[in-house]
Amino acid sequence: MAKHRTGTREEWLAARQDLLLREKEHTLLGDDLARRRRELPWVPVDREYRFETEGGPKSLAELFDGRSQLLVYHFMFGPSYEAGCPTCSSIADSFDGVVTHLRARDATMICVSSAPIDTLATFKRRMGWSFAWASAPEFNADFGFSYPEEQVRGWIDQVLADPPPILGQNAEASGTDAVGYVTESFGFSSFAADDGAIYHTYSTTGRGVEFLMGYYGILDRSPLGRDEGEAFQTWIRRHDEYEWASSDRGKPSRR
Amino acid sequence: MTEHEVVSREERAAARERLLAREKGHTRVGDELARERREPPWVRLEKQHTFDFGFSRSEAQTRGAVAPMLEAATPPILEHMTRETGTDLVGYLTEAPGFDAFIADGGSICHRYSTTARGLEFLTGYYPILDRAPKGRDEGGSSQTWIRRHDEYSA
Repeated sequence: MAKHRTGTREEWLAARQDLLLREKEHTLLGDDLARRRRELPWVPVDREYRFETEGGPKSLAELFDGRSQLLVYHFMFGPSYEAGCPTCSSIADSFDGVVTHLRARDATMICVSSAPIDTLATFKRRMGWSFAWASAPEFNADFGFSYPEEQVRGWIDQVLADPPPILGQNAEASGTDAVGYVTESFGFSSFAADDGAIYHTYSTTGRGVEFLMGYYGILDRSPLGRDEGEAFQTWIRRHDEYEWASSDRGKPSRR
Repeated sequence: MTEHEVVSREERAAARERLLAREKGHTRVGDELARERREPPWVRLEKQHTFDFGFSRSEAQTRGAVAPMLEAATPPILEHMTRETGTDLVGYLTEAPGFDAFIADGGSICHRYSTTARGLEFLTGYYPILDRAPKGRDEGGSSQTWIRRHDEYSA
């Protein structure tokens, strides 16, 4: 356990007050960033995409489901995967419960992946999620979240020269190899429907998706912190694969 | 929806890059804060501690604390929440929301961290998402009045 000293409640309170001022600054900086994001110019989406959904094929406009904002998590689940990426699965766990609250703010939140819709639907049932999930390889490719395998083979050697431990682990857990795994990338995108047209308003990836990883925000306030060292995320499992996952959630249906 | 400048993907790239630099700065300050939260001295809890972390008050204490508010106009969110929880203003305000972190250290327990109010937004999954949506939180002056329990939204 980390080295530490014990102190009195008064000492703790003094340190806490000091930290609180800095936390408030950080919150206000976050508000400022939110305002700046809304000031970004919008880019019209002028290509027609086809989304395969559990309710049949749909257009991008139809995915808004009658609301004026569409929020997309680009979930790493490629054609060669047997199961969804464990880290993306932990992210989906984090936002699935708030999708209903987002509807009350005129926003529909969904996931988009490249694997066939039947594979996505089976995995969604296993995980017990409620959000809508669409298969649309071209859409993910156009927004930079999916790449052809030939293209990946062009740069994968550089990555494999010094791969982060999570890469091999998540590829294996997804039933594919490193190349198959990284044909997909993860990220979040926002779209607005306005006066018959659709606009892309924002996208982020990398650590920019930590706002969707509920556990990191909590761990950042816990005594031991993230405690990951260099091997970030290697502790993450799909929620039904932890040794303490209760058996009543149903057996994993890995094929 | 509000007026927006409409440009090509290439034209927006530079503005997005500038914002990204600010977002990264914000992330790093967050990392620094996480480190600083682990710095304050650990406060060992006495045996038989009676969970008084200031998140719950007696009715008499509450009445004293909110007396000025009772004379002025009640904020919309308080009026809404009081009605929704089936109590009165004083009854509602006897509880405050908060988050605490403890650590077990050998045989004793230490209190490490406590936060409330906007310090709890890390637990409201929807706010960080709305902060990246075209319309933002869009709450105007009446924060949170749109929130219902998840089984109480109308279709």
